[in-house]
Amino acid sequence: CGYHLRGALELPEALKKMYVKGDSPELAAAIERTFRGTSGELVATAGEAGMILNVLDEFYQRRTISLSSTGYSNEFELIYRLSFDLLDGEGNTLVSNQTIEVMKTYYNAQSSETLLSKDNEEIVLRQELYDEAVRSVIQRARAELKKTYP
Amino acid sequence: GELDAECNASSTAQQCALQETEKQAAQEINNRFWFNKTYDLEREQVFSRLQAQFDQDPWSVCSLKLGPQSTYSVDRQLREKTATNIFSGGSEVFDAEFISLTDNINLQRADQRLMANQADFNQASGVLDLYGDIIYSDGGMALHSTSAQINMENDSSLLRDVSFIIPSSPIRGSADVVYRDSPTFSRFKEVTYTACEPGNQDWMLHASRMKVNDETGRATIKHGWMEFKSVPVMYFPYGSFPIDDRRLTGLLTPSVGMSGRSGVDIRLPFYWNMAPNYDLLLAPRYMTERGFMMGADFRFLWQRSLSDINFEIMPEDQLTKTLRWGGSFQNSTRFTDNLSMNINANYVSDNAYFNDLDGALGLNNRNRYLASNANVAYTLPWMSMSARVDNYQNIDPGASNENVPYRRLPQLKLDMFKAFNDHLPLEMGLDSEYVYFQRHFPDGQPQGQRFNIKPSVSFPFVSQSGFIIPKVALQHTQYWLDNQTTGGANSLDKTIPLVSLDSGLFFEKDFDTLTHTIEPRLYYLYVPFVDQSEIPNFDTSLYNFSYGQLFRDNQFNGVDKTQNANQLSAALTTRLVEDGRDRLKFTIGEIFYFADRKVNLVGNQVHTGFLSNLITELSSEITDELKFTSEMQWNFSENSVNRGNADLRYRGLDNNIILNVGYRYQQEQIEFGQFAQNQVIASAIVPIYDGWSAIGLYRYSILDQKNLEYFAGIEKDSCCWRLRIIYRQFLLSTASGGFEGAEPQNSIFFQLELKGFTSLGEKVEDFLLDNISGYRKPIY
Amino acid sequence: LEGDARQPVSIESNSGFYDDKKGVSIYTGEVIVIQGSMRMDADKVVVHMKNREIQKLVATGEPVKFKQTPEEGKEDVHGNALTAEYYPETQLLIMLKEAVVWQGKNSTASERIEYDRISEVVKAGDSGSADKRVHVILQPKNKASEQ
Repeated sequence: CGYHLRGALELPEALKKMYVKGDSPELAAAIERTFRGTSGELVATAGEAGMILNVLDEFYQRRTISLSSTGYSNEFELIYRLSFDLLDGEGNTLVSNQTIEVMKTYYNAQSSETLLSKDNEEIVLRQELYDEAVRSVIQRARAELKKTYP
Repeated sequence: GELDAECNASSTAQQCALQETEKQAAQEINNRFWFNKTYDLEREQVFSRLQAQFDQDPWSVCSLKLGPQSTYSVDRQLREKTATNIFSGGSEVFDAEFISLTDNINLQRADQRLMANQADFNQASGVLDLYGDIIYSDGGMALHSTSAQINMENDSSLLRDVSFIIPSSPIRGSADVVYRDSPTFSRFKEVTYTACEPGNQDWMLHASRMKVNDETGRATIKHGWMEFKSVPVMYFPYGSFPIDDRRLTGLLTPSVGMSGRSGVDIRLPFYWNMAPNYDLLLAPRYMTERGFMMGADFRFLWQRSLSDINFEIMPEDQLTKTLRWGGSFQNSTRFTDNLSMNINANYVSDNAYFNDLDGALGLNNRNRYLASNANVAYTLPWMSMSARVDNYQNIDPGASNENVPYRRLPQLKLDMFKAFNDHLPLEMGLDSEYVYFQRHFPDGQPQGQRFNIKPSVSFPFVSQSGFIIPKVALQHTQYWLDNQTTGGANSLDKTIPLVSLDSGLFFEKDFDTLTHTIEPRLYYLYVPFVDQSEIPNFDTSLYNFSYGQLFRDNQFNGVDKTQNANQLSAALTTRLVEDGRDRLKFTIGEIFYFADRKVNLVGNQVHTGFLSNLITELSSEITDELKFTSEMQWNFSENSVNRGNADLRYRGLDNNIILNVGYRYQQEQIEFGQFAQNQVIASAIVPIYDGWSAIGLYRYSILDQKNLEYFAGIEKDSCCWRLRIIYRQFLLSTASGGFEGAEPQNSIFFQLELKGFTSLGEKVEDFLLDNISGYRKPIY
Repeated sequence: LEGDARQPVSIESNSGFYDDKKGVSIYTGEVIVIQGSMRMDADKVVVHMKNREIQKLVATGEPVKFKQTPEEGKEDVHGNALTAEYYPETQLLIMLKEAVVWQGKNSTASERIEYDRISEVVKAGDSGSADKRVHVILQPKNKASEQ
């Protein structure tokens, strides 16, 4: 019925080696965790890279999304926004100025018993948010590259 | 145009100068009346001629909303090495030294351009005298003058009746006399000055003396007074501000608010930029109900470390008859790219401090606790080490000051993650932590040390089309408790293995521009039961049940409790993808429990349900501007919707329109620490006309049948000033506490920000950022 | 130089002839005109006489070159133009069409330049007409010691 397992993107050999530039430590860790699922391979220096993920800007924010009946925040939204370019080894642009925004919400009634545990939860949610953002970057990059390398 | 009619080439320079002074005198007279523009039509025409001297219009920054882009630089060494080319109608050279030039002279030397009606140049002394309609421009500025004397040797000059534009800020202005003592230092007499584009005189600074030092990038003025829309607004004997970096400039602009708790609330901040790397903001404040308060904010940048000391004191609050004060110290230091330190210490004199004094746009009064913490972190992509201490102060007047979370003195963490290369699919992880939990106010709750280590090994078989990841982890947690008053053992420990198998497949089918995907996922988790009822809950409670929870190895978000598990999470995600964007994404999932869950935060209840809540998520990136997200959870045991929310967000990419509508429903779930909730929220920023926009937010609780918060405001954003007026009603918890103990507060906030002078709008921008989804701080 | 005005004007050339009717003598071919410290080289010089005194001397060349020492020890003034008219009594030299004069390192270029040898004034351009714009080039003073 036409559905098939997603195949590896037939990227030219040169583009398989990817170097990431301008990423924050947290994003670097997320890339380290989630990059395994792609057909590419992370390399340590721009020199040996066929493709460069150039991170232009990152923005992480925690904002109030709901208030309790006494005016205290009890539900928060975590937003992570990332914009990037994709360049090839020689530096000319394959994909330019793409922006990815991912969000998660969680409940935190700020009670004395749960405040620390909700900090733990936010750390875990933030990691999952960065992982989701990296997967979106890969999905967006695949879609754009598919146009140039059908 | 007719501007030059009487003063054209035929009339001599002397005649021109005469007419010029007559015009000046006439302008001087009508300047006495306030509602008169400082620059008349003739001078505005001079400014537009100066504006044209630059390749890129300095005020393009207003329309592009990009902030000052191009750099305006001046290359002085080049000038000394380059020949001077002079074009003129006629020239006379005496003794090869005295040159007199007439009839629209045009002089060029490196980046310098000069035009004048007449010029005499003594080449020996290097002194150039110019007369009549002089226009000078170089990389750093453009100016017009009626008579000038320039020393080409040391680049010093004296100019009369000057109009000038400094593009880097950009600012424009005029002065009776300008002494340029050196290429980097100039003194102005009777100067007027604005950041508004030519033709717009919305605000204007007048000063009898101004000194501009390009090296330090700072300008200082004496006897200045500010005029807004031709109405004098402020006087200040002395002012100092940088001229190159707009964000740092700061002079006096008042912000006025009014609220039920403090009456009329006026702040008159005075900003003093003492040096490029440290500055001081003094914020005297007067509240009609409470009296006088003084705030000071000292910022200090040294190498890669930024510190911010903030202190506010109110000698006597007329309402509470008490001394009230608050202080904070913030520091963030990046020793190396990987080693950083952050300190965030805060303290206030009493728990109603923020409720009473945080003002109309206060955000602190939404927090129940004021956190103080300090941490040092060393992070690499595969490893992160950190040491942290933290403490909390109660700032909810309705709660007792002693009921505060545990202090962590210290918390040491070491997390490692190593992914081996592809042909050996092996990943190893280690999470380890040591914490000493202490009660700030001993209240019988346990205190003590905890050590936790959780090595894990996984074998990820991953490809584009799917993955199978078996993972084994072992958690060992050790406690040394101080004063086990309840007779329990002082040292406890638990060791729990966790085994999980995560798997998933990616099916897809292309429909010309769209790709439809089907992504099933199965996650099996096995954790044996270990009795943990003796173990205290230092920093543990239940995770919010959400889609992400299906694939976590513990129901609890702390290490104190590890739920036993023999369960299978099943989830299905399907997407319609176009250009890498999820035009439509639907996810459904739940957990099948094959074993009762016996671990609890408190007590020993046994959870026997076979099915968890059913989670469904539907979201869509309709366009790059319009996004919809929604989630719903079905509770099988109660046969009802347990949680549901939906959000529609529009953020115009070029029309600056922001619209958000949201609905949030939650059933009460005490064990999750969640209270019932049924709220609607809508917020918007809509441009109306000519830079005016309306701002609004409305938050209504259907459950409590009352407005939780609403605010409405207008903002005018023009090229050189920004005005905001916001009326806000919000709930403030009162001393009587409890859940009825909150009264609505009405407040108004007014602030005028003069771009190029003040950057004190931060408070408003933080308020909008926290409340209106999609809002981004303006760059300029 | 000071005494130049009283010096005799000598003219050498490959050939020359006297046109009695017009009262002019015409010299052609590597014409060199010398008076005191001034020297002029041209392709053709037409000398207008009036009761045995040189009234006016018109030189043309590709271009006409001229050199003059204004004062003892000062740098020479030199210049060229397509046409040059010289009036010995008034010591006035008028250069027309693509005229350029160098004084030390500085130069003045225009369609019309007047050089008054007595007052050492170089007058260029003509404020009325637009086409006689002057282009003066002042070389930077190369400081002996770098400041």
